[in-house]
Amino acid sequence: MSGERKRFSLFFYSFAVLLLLYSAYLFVSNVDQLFVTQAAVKTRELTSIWDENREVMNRFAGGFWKDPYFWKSLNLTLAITLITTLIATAAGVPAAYALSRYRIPGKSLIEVIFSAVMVLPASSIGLCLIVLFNYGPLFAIQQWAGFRVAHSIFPGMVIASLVLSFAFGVSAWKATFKNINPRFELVARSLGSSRWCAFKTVTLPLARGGIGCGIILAWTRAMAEFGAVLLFCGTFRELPVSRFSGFTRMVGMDQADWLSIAVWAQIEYGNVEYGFALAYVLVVFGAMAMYVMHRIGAKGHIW
Amino acid sequence: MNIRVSNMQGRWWPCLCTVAVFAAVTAYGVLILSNWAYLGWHDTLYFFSRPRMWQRFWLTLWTSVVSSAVSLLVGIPAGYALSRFRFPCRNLFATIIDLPIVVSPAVIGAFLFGITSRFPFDVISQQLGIYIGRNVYGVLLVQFTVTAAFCARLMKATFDIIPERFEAVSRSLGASNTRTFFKVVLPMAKTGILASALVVWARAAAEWEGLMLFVGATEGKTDILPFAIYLDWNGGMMGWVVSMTIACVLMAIAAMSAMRIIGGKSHVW
Amino acid sequence: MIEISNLSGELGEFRLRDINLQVDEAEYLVILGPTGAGKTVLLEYVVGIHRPRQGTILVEGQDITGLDIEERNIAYVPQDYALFPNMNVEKNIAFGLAARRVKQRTIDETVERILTALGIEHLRFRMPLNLSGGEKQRVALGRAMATGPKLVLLDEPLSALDESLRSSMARELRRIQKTLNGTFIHICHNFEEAADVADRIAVMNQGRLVQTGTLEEIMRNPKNEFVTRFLKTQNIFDAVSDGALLTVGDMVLRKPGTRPGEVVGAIRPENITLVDNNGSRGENVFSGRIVRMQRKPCFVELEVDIGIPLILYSTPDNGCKEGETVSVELAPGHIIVTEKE
Repeated sequence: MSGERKRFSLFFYSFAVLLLLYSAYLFVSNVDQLFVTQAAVKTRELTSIWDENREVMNRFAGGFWKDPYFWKSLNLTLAITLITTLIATAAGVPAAYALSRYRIPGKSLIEVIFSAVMVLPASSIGLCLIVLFNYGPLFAIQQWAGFRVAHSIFPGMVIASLVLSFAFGVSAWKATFKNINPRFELVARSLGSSRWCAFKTVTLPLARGGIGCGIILAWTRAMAEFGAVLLFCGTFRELPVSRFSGFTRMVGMDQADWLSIAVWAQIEYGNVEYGFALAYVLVVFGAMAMYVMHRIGAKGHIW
Repeated sequence: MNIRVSNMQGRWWPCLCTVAVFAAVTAYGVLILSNWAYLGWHDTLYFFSRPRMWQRFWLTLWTSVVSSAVSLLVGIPAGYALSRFRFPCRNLFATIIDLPIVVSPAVIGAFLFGITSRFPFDVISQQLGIYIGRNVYGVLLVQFTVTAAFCARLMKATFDIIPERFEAVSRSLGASNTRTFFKVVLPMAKTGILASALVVWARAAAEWEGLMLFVGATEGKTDILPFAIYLDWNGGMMGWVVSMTIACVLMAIAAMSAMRIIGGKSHVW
Repeated sequence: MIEISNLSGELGEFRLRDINLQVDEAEYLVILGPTGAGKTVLLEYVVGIHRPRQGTILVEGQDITGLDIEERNIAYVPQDYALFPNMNVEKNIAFGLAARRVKQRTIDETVERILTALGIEHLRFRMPLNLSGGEKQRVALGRAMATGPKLVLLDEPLSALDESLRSSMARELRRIQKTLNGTFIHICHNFEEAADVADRIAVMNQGRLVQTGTLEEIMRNPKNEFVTRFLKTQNIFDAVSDGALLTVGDMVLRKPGTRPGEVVGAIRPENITLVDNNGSRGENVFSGRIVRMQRKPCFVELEVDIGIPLILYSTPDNGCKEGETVSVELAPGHIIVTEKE
């Protein structure tokens, strides 16, 4: 290899490596935040809920795995994101298919709206949801039904995470379908297959990888949601147990929080190690999901 | 054999798909428009005329422009490297680079809060006197962290579209690698880069959760629009909140429309 | 003056085995072979896009195997010509010269010379988007030759063209090569295309170089059954030879000078002649029934059954009809014999 080529490649490699190192540093160097320093122990202010666990709290990572709050929050977040991903997939795959194949009036506008939603700040989205559900006609309907959507676990959190999860999923699925030649389906239909059959037997198997990637992206986005859930649903930990329905208590989601919100809440309270531990749990989930997605390796989308 | 399927029977699938699209668009549209409905035209104009609004708007604008410019500087070469060169354990590599994009921004905020108290940031604050933390520099850092890897991804997609043949031809004519990159590859990637830059900018302007933990709120210094929405919401100032949301929506739509116009159909977003 | 020795390597599923090839200056060599034969691998090794596992490439005595693409001075013209879309014709052609930091005046003179030689002065300021296929080809060649490369590599340059254009475009290529005095290696999978342009043809199959020679040489003496089939020799039959005679089923053909044993015989359609039924007896004259008479765009194809099916060509006014019995002569000199694989 000539010297110039070496220098050229090295220069460009270094930027990619820079990003890698930055990211790695960001995530790895914070591990020591999981350990308590003695000074922090002395000056710490813990709320009464934690008092019984004080001993435990002052060791590694605030002893998060011993705390029922952690498990309930994990339970809650995983369950809700699962539901969100299911809804997003069920509605999103057909929508993406339509956007990729059919001539729809105003398609450009529709795609601008979808893209715009993806880059809107989450607080705006949360606020839009609040305005939508707490004021105006929808509020009246809720009053009549005796049920408030905002500040609820279900469907409040589902809706809050669905807004962005859906948009990201559709973006990925649309790219997948765009990559598959429509000719295959035309041939299948010319042989007598119905549109749905052609889709199911010809396109779907080809799109398997891309749809999988889209599902993972939608789920990851739902897990990463913070702002919309914060504004629309708030935190639940301080609420008395009686506020939660019997069903919620049964599945063990009472007095639990959305995980990303829990991270913030814990750090705000001063339980830095606990907060970081929760953060690392989220990172682990995210990393596993992304690794799987890269292994599936569908092409065409930005991943 | 009668292979004619009744039209209605066969058409349920495209109907379902189209309905899904329109339902989603309507939902989003209603979501966005409800702000206007709530506030009314008159009130919107009132809030938009207040200097506090514009102060926040300009702050958002210049911080996001600066941080996305830096992201581009890092992202374009990184994207080219990711597109053209082979990396060892590329799945692992890609996963680590992607982490800041997929992980909740609150987590990013927490982690940035963790690393700014140590090397190399304490060195920077001691030697250069620039403290990166509860100020505008903190905002810039958060925005950069969130958008840099994202920018690299988008750039990789842009460069992936350009066949490597052109580079081989250019080099076979004797052009150096640097010349090939600047005179052949970049001009061909121009529209893609511009469109990606817009998306990166929009993403930077929408970033705020990281700010909550890391930067905190200083009126006039760090309350960029998305953050201000949350702060004023806590303060119960609904009018401000809704009008700022409208501002954000307008910015997002403007950016995405510009992206569509520039990028046309060839872009991957 | 280009010498390729022992070139071997793998690229994905395609492999190259021990290629030895020589190209003289100002020669037009065609590398011919079916898809998957390894032609593109060979091209990418010579251009420098990939490194071979083993072997050397010498250009005028200098070993370029270790050099980068930009150091080899070997021009590469891909299938779709890859004209830089952001530059006009003039800038495209001048690109290599500008890259080598040649003085602007020299660049202008060279570009002028090339535009004139190729007859495309009127396209000087056009953008590649607005050029036709033939115009693109000329610009691509002009760009390749402007820097005076040691070798120009063309990757299937005519495959994307319409059938009707191919012949005239092929002649164009030949003319340009002669005018600008370049050394061309042209890769293709189409025998007719090769026949139109080549000084010499190198036939490749499954990563190996099977035979090299002029068109006449390889048509008359194909090395093995593969080459025979690839060159569209239509009448191929199994036979047993005893040195002077070929036994094909019930028939005996005279063909002196062959190796005894099982062989594969062939004869090209254009070398079979129709003779009068009671004309002078030549050698290897057989009679048979015309099974099929097929009008082709430029001639008539006859299928005659003399015991083995034979395809031969004739003109439309030959006076024959399907079902008629005719006599055909298979001159021994035209019978091709290769060993059975």
